[in-house]
Amino acid sequence: MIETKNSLDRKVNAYIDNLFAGIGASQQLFDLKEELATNMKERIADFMARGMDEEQAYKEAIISMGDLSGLVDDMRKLGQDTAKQTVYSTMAARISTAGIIAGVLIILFGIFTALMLFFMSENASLMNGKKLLMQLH
Amino acid sequence: MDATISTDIIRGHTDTIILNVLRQGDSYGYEIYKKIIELSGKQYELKEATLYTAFRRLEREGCIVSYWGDETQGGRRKYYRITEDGRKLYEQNKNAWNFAKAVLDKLIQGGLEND
Repeated sequence: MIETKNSLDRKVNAYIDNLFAGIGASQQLFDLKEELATNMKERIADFMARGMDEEQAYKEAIISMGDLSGLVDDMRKLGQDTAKQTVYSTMAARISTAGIIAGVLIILFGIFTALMLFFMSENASLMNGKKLLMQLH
Repeated sequence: MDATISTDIIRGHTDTIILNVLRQGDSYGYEIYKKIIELSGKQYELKEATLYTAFRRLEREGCIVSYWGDETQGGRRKYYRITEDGRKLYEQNKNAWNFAKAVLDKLIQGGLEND
Protein backbone atom coordinates (compact mmCIF):
# COMPACT_ATOMS: atom_id res chain seq x y z
CA MET A 1 0.00 0.00 0.00
CA ILE A 2 2.50 2.60 1.10
CA GLU A 3 6.23 2.44 0.67
CA THR A 4 7.67 1.39 4.00
CA LYS A 5 11.03 3.02 3.87
CA ASN A 6 11.77 3.24 7.55
CA SER A 7 10.50 2.15 10.91
CA LEU A 8 8.44 5.31 11.43
CA ASP A 9 6.48 4.72 8.22
CA ARG A 10 5.87 1.16 9.33
CA LYS A 11 4.75 2.34 12.76
CA VAL A 12 2.25 4.80 11.27
CA ASN A 13 0.88 2.19 8.87
CA ALA A 14 0.61 -0.36 11.67
CA TYR A 15 -1.21 2.17 13.87
CA ILE A 16 -3.74 2.90 11.13
CA ASP A 17 -4.14 -0.77 10.20
CA ASN A 18 -4.82 -1.50 13.86
CA LEU A 19 -7.35 1.33 14.06
CA PHE A 20 -9.41 -0.28 11.29
CA ALA A 21 -8.66 -3.89 12.27
CA GLY A 22 -11.37 -6.45 11.56
CA ILE A 23 -13.30 -4.18 9.20
CA GLY A 24 -14.45 -5.62 5.87
CA ALA A 25 -12.33 -4.42 2.97
CA SER A 26 -13.66 -1.74 0.64
CA GLN A 27 -12.07 0.66 -1.81
CA GLN A 28 -13.10 3.53 0.47
CA LEU A 29 -11.36 1.98 3.47
CA PHE A 30 -8.19 1.41 1.45
CA ASP A 31 -8.23 5.04 0.26
CA LEU A 32 -8.97 6.45 3.71
CA LYS A 33 -6.10 4.53 5.27
CA GLU A 34 -3.68 5.85 2.69
CA GLU A 35 -5.02 9.40 3.14
CA LEU A 36 -4.69 9.23 6.93
CA ALA A 37 -1.20 7.70 6.79
CA THR A 38 0.13 10.31 4.37
CA ASN A 39 -1.21 13.23 6.40
CA MET A 40 -0.04 11.74 9.68
CA LYS A 41 3.49 11.28 8.35
CA GLU A 42 3.55 14.89 7.21
CA ARG A 43 2.37 16.03 10.62
CA ILE A 44 5.08 13.97 12.34
CA ALA A 45 7.67 15.49 10.02
CA ASP A 46 6.39 18.98 10.99
CA PHE A 47 6.64 18.17 14.70
CA MET A 48 10.16 16.83 14.23
CA ALA A 49 11.13 19.96 12.32
CA ARG A 50 10.03 21.90 15.41
CA GLY A 51 12.50 19.92 17.50
CA MET A 52 10.58 16.93 18.80
CA ASP A 53 12.21 13.52 18.68
CA GLU A 54 10.59 10.80 16.58
CA GLU A 55 8.79 9.02 19.42
CA GLN A 56 7.36 12.23 20.86
CA ALA A 57 6.28 13.46 17.41
CA TYR A 58 4.55 10.15 16.72
CA LYS A 59 2.63 10.31 20.00
CA GLU A 60 1.68 13.96 19.51
CA ALA A 61 0.44 13.22 15.99
CA ILE A 62 -1.86 10.48 17.24
CA ILE A 63 -3.28 12.73 19.97
CA SER A 64 -3.80 15.72 17.69
CA MET A 65 -5.61 13.67 15.01
CA GLY A 66 -8.63 13.65 17.31
CA ASP A 67 -11.33 11.04 17.72
CA LEU A 68 -11.46 8.81 14.64
CA SER A 69 -14.18 6.47 15.96
CA GLY A 70 -16.86 8.07 13.76
CA LEU A 71 -14.82 7.27 10.67
CA VAL A 72 -14.15 3.73 11.92
CA ASP A 73 -17.92 3.20 12.32
CA ASP A 74 -18.54 4.56 8.80
CA MET A 75 -16.02 2.12 7.38
CA ARG A 76 -17.45 -0.79 9.35
CA LYS A 77 -20.90 -0.12 7.86
CA LEU A 78 -19.40 0.08 4.38
CA GLY A 79 -17.52 -3.20 4.94
CA GLN A 80 -20.72 -4.94 6.03
CA ASP A 81 -22.55 -3.69 2.95
CA THR A 82 -19.81 -5.09 0.71
CA ALA A 83 -19.99 -8.42 2.55
CA LYS A 84 -23.75 -8.55 2.00
CA GLN A 85 -23.24 -7.70 -1.66
CA THR A 86 -20.78 -10.57 -2.08
CA VAL A 87 -23.20 -13.06 -0.51
CA TYR A 88 -26.00 -11.72 -2.67
CA SER A 89 -23.96 -11.90 -5.86
CA THR A 90 -22.85 -15.51 -5.26
CA MET A 91 -26.48 -16.46 -4.64
CA ALA A 92 -27.56 -14.64 -7.78
CA ALA A 93 -24.78 -16.38 -9.70
CA ARG A 94 -25.98 -19.80 -8.48
CA ILE A 95 -29.56 -19.04 -9.42
CA SER A 96 -28.57 -17.94 -12.91
CA THR A 97 -26.37 -21.03 -13.44
CA ALA A 98 -29.31 -23.25 -12.46
CA GLY A 99 -31.47 -21.25 -14.88
CA ILE A 100 -29.03 -21.77 -17.74
CA ILE A 101 -28.83 -25.52 -17.12
CA ALA A 102 -32.62 -25.83 -16.95
CA GLY A 103 -32.97 -23.78 -20.15
CA VAL A 104 -30.48 -25.90 -22.07
CA LEU A 105 -32.25 -29.10 -20.94
CA ILE A 106 -35.63 -27.76 -22.10
CA ILE A 107 -34.18 -26.79 -25.49
CA LEU A 108 -32.55 -30.23 -25.92
CA PHE A 109 -35.84 -31.91 -25.00
CA GLY A 110 -37.66 -29.76 -27.56
CA ILE A 111 -35.19 -30.62 -30.33
CA PHE A 112 -35.39 -34.31 -29.43
CA THR A 113 -39.19 -34.29 -29.53
CA ALA A 114 -39.25 -32.41 -32.82
CA LEU A 115 -36.82 -34.89 -34.40
CA MET A 116 -38.80 -37.80 -33.04
CA LEU A 117 -42.05 -36.48 -34.48
CA PHE A 118 -40.35 -35.71 -37.79
CA PHE A 119 -39.03 -39.27 -38.15
CA MET A 120 -42.31 -40.76 -36.99
CA SER A 121 -44.29 -38.84 -39.60
CA GLU A 122 -41.71 -39.75 -42.26
CA ASN A 123 -42.03 -43.38 -41.33
CA ALA A 124 -45.78 -43.05 -41.39
CA SER A 125 -45.79 -41.51 -44.88
CA LEU A 126 -43.37 -44.17 -46.08
CA MET A 127 -45.69 -46.83 -44.73
CA ASN A 128 -48.62 -45.17 -46.47
CA GLY A 129 -46.64 -45.14 -49.71
CA LYS A 130 -45.88 -48.82 -49.38
CA LYS A 131 -49.56 -49.57 -48.69
CA LEU A 132 -50.51 -47.64 -51.82
CA LEU A 133 -48.01 -49.58 -53.89
CA MET A 134 -49.34 -52.86 -52.51
CA GLN A 135 -52.86 -51.83 -53.42
CA LEU A 136 -51.80 -50.92 -56.94
CA HIS A 137 -50.19 -54.28 -57.49
CA MET B 1 -4.66 27.65 20.85
CA ASP B 2 -7.29 26.90 23.48
CA ALA B 3 -10.74 26.13 22.14
CA THR B 4 -12.30 29.38 23.24
CA ILE B 5 -15.11 28.90 20.74
CA SER B 6 -17.40 26.13 21.96
CA THR B 7 -17.87 23.12 19.68
CA ASP B 8 -21.62 23.81 19.75
CA ILE B 9 -21.10 27.11 17.98
CA ILE B 10 -18.67 25.85 15.36
CA ARG B 11 -20.35 22.52 14.59
CA GLY B 12 -22.90 23.79 12.10
CA HIS B 13 -20.22 25.71 10.21
CA THR B 14 -17.57 23.03 9.64
CA ASP B 15 -18.65 22.45 6.04
CA THR B 16 -18.72 26.17 5.23
CA ILE B 17 -15.24 26.66 6.72
CA ILE B 18 -13.86 23.81 4.58
CA LEU B 19 -15.58 25.21 1.49
CA ASN B 20 -14.05 28.61 2.23
CA VAL B 21 -10.57 27.03 2.24
CA LEU B 22 -11.22 25.03 -0.93
CA ARG B 23 -12.75 27.89 -2.92
CA GLN B 24 -9.32 29.51 -2.60
CA GLY B 25 -7.57 26.50 -4.12
CA ASP B 26 -7.35 22.68 -4.07
CA SER B 27 -5.87 21.20 -0.92
CA TYR B 28 -5.42 18.01 1.13
CA GLY B 29 -6.29 16.97 4.69
CA TYR B 30 -3.32 18.13 6.74
CA GLU B 31 -2.88 21.31 4.69
CA ILE B 32 -6.58 22.19 5.10
CA TYR B 33 -6.14 21.62 8.84
CA LYS B 34 -3.21 24.06 8.92
CA LYS B 35 -5.02 26.62 6.76
CA ILE B 36 -7.99 26.63 9.14
CA ILE B 37 -5.67 27.39 12.07
CA GLU B 38 -4.13 30.17 9.97
CA LEU B 39 -7.56 31.54 8.99
CA SER B 40 -8.57 31.71 12.65
CA GLY B 41 -5.45 33.68 13.55
CA LYS B 42 -4.40 30.67 15.63
CA GLN B 43 -7.56 31.02 17.74
CA TYR B 44 -9.20 27.82 16.60
CA GLU B 45 -8.21 24.29 15.70
CA LEU B 46 -10.57 21.97 13.84
CA LYS B 47 -9.49 18.39 14.53
CA GLU B 48 -8.33 16.38 11.52
CA ALA B 49 -10.75 13.58 12.44
CA THR B 50 -13.64 16.06 12.11
CA LEU B 51 -12.31 17.15 8.73
CA TYR B 52 -12.28 13.63 7.24
CA THR B 53 -15.88 13.04 8.30
CA ALA B 54 -16.85 16.35 6.69
CA PHE B 55 -14.92 15.53 3.47
CA ARG B 56 -16.84 12.28 3.11
CA ARG B 57 -20.17 14.09 3.64
CA LEU B 58 -19.34 16.96 1.26
CA GLU B 59 -18.13 14.56 -1.41
CA ARG B 60 -21.31 12.47 -1.12
CA GLU B 61 -23.37 15.64 -1.54
CA GLY B 62 -21.40 16.62 -4.64
CA CYS B 63 -19.95 19.80 -3.10
CA ILE B 64 -16.35 18.64 -3.46
CA VAL B 65 -14.48 16.07 -5.54
CA SER B 66 -11.22 14.30 -4.69
CA TYR B 67 -8.20 13.15 -6.65
CA TRP B 68 -4.82 11.66 -5.82
CA GLY B 69 -1.65 13.67 -6.11
CA ASP B 70 1.42 12.16 -7.72
CA GLU B 71 3.81 12.43 -4.75
CA THR B 72 6.22 9.55 -4.47
CA GLN B 73 7.69 10.24 -1.04
CA GLY B 74 5.69 9.31 2.04
CA GLY B 75 2.58 8.20 0.17
CA ARG B 76 0.11 9.94 -2.12
CA ARG B 77 -1.94 12.91 -0.98
CA LYS B 78 -5.68 12.99 -1.49
CA TYR B 79 -6.62 16.43 -2.78
CA TYR B 80 -10.04 18.01 -2.67
CA ARG B 81 -11.55 20.45 -5.13
CA ILE B 82 -14.73 22.50 -4.73
CA THR B 83 -17.49 21.97 -7.33
CA GLU B 84 -20.05 24.45 -8.69
CA ASP B 85 -22.60 23.04 -6.23
CA GLY B 86 -20.05 23.55 -3.48
CA ARG B 87 -19.58 27.20 -4.44
CA LYS B 88 -23.37 27.70 -4.45
CA LEU B 89 -23.65 26.12 -1.01
CA TYR B 90 -20.81 28.30 0.26
CA GLU B 91 -22.57 31.49 -0.95
CA GLN B 92 -25.88 30.38 0.58
CA ASN B 93 -24.26 29.54 3.91
CA LYS B 94 -22.31 32.81 3.90
CA ASN B 95 -25.50 34.82 3.39
CA ALA B 96 -27.31 32.81 6.05
CA TRP B 97 -24.41 33.46 8.43
CA ASN B 98 -24.39 37.20 7.79
CA PHE B 99 -28.11 37.34 8.47
CA ALA B 100 -27.86 35.23 11.62
CA LYS B 101 -24.86 37.18 12.84
CA ALA B 102 -26.74 40.50 12.62
CA VAL B 103 -29.86 39.14 14.31
CA LEU B 104 -27.93 37.31 17.03
CA ASP B 105 -25.99 40.45 17.79
CA LYS B 106 -29.24 42.33 18.35
CA LEU B 107 -30.65 39.47 20.43
CA ILE B 108 -27.60 39.18 22.63
CA GLN B 109 -26.50 42.81 22.95
CA GLY B 110 -29.58 44.85 22.01
CA GLY B 111 -31.52 46.99 24.46
CA LEU B 112 -35.29 47.38 24.48
CA GLU B 113 -36.67 50.88 24.09
CA ASN B 114 -39.05 51.73 26.87
CA ASP B 115 -41.91 53.69 25.42
